[in-house]
Amino acid sequence: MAMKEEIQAGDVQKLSLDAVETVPKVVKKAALVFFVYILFCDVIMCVWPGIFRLYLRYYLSFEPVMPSDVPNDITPVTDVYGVHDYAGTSEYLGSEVIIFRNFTDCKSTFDNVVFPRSKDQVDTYTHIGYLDKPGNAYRPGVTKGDFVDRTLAEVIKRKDPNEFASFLQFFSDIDFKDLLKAKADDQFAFDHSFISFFKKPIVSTGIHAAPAAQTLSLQCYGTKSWLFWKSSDLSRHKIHPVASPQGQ
Amino acid sequence: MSGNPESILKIPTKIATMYPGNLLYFPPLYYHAVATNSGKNVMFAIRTFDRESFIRSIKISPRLTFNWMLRYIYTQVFYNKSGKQGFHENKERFPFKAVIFEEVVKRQFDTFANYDGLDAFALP
Repeated sequence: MAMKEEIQAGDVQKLSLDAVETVPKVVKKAALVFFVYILFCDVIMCVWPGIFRLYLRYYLSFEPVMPSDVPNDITPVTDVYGVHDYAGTSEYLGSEVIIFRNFTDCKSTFDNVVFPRSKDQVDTYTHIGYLDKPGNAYRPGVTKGDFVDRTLAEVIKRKDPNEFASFLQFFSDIDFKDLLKAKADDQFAFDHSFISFFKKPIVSTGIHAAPAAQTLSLQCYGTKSWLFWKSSDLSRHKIHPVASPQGQ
Repeated sequence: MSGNPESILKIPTKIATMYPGNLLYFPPLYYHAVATNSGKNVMFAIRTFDRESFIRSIKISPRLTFNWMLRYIYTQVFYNKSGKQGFHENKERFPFKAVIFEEVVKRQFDTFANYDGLDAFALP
């Protein structure tokens, strides 16, 4: 009996020695695998478009991410009333989408201040055609064709339903300050302005995001409707958001 | 970007209906799609791109922010001669933009061209 206990104690001791040697090896291997994974996903795929292409081919799937009997989970964005200048927005800006209702008379500022100042600016516009269907979150209801260079005045005057001025960048810091009723020392980077004369209601822009930039979208003419998703919710449901300089 | 236009509405989704004079704020990396009514429509999306915006982007997703930063530097240094920032319509060929369009956007466009998803936007 004493002999048996001695053997058992020896076995335990031997196992403990192995564990002491094995655990650091496993940790080292796990750290190496993690390092290689990070190197691949967060470095190589960010400087090597060819590898990024292979990653997208492997991971892209159009299978439903939720069962078909689950109802839609769409809730309205929070409305804020009584804010009429940029300074007043600051306490609300953070991690959530907010609408400031009746913020300013944007139509008047555009027509009387911004347009006269920018009417001769030239930017690139796209010819569009309409699909039979009006589009969806993944697919706008228009197809984009050739590019054409026009002044802002030409675009407003032509009212062409087959041209879409999207992601324009020719307004200036002073225009932004006038539109947002901001102070001289407020800083804005650039604009993505949209001008359209669509002949029917459509989805005009499919799902995308603006990395590293906060956005203030001021509606001057017409109406739009936006759908929003947090990147964390997309990731959790395996929609695999990716970030690029072009915002997809 | 996986999934499809029907099932993405079943995960938490926010909707914002915008009328003239309204201002909409959204933080970095908040994914969105937009529907527009017929007739004259003018909208300014003004971006702030400063330390605070960058910190918010990192808090929301360090990984997507870091990925974007590397790809942005790569594109700005080697390809973008226009001086414009962010997404813009252009005649130049940017490699990451091209890859996403060819591998993701074009396939989404082909696959979902006949799916009518406008009602989900509840345009007024």
